[in-house]
Amino acid sequence: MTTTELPRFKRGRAPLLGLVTLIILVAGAMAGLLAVPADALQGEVQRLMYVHVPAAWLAMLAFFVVFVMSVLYLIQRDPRWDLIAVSSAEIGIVFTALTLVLGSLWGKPTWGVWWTWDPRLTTTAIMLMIYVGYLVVRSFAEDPEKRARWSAIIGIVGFVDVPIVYLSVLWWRTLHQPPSSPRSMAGEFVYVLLLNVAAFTFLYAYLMVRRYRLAVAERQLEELRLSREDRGGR
Amino acid sequence: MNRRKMWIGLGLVAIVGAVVLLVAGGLRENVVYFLTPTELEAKGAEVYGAPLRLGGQVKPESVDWNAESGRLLFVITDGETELPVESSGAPPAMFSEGMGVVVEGSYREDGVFRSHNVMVKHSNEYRPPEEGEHPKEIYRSLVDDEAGR
Amino acid sequence: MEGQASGTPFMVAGYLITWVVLVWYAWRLERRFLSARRVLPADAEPPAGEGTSENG
Repeated sequence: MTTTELPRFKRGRAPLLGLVTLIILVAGAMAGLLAVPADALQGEVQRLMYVHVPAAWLAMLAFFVVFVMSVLYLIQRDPRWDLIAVSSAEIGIVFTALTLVLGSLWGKPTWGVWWTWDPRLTTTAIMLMIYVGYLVVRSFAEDPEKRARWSAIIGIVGFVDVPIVYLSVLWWRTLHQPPSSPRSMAGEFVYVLLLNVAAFTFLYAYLMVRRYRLAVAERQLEELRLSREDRGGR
Repeated sequence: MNRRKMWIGLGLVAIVGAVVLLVAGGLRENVVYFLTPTELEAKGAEVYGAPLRLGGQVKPESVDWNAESGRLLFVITDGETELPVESSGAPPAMFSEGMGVVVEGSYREDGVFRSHNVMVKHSNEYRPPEEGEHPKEIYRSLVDDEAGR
Repeated sequence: MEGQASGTPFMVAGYLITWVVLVWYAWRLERRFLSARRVLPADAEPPAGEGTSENG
């Protein structure tokens, strides 16, 4: 595989996407903080829902993309799928960690604890570990092709936990409440939540464009280093 | 080369192992975060003194909070069985009668559940305050209500 | 009851942390890319303008 198979950098629309993302994110935050009243029972702390739920959504979306790209890689062996997968995995890790921190901040004043080993929290922690493991395994593999193959397998097998995280609150007894629905939530809260979910979906797209660009640059550097080592005669 | 393979292998085994354990555990329904009062009573002497979690609702008009000694007494119910719970320290602010709770501690021979940690299990329902209601005041009145007992 | 203050500070902390993480991560991606590009030879280099974005 040579560098030319990788996409060349081209003038993109990323700054425009970034600007649109920023506008929707700010609108979502303002809606969550100003446009709707806080929950009658929980008070102000309930507004954390408008960031906690979208962060969790973004993380799961990111891991789903890792799964799809891993399958595609194993079928087509195109290094681009591998680079998209690793980009998505890193973003998913950042937002899983953010979800856990936000959940902890929400849990302390409502549940009374920062953390408890209930099935939802435990499976989410396992999800974080799986994808951190994914990056660790990548860092051990020196051969790009082997790295891509091994991490694709983890990207597929590891995804098993993602639906389990979602279903955990329905399958098992938990301290975490089951997912809210338009039936369990006031209409105005639903709209604000959907706006924030949309904002975080744009955010995912923007971060992916930027992270993929970085992945390509890093890969080109690696190709350069490997070809130099070849010429140097190992 | 072998070292790297070993690491990759170990990582894969650990991940697959964790996932399989989790799924298998779920299918066998042995992942139980808390017991209900009915289940705990059925186990009885078998679990005396063992650390476990008990979940249910706070029975209305059963809360006895002594702010001076910091002792909290209430009855936990699943609609079928009622069990007295004794705890020390203030419960979370959302603790109130009829609310879902999960308590950590152990079941004693005298039939009382001695808890060291009371957690509130709130529902997935959210609504804005009604006319004249203010979330913050509700929050405070819940706290004051409990403290005043 | 002692130690049972309002939940507002937790909410404020959550929003602050969210925005700090967003800005930090987007900025890190920018920095990591720029430092990778610096070592890349000219033929792999992206055209000017692509590397900069006002959205940190």
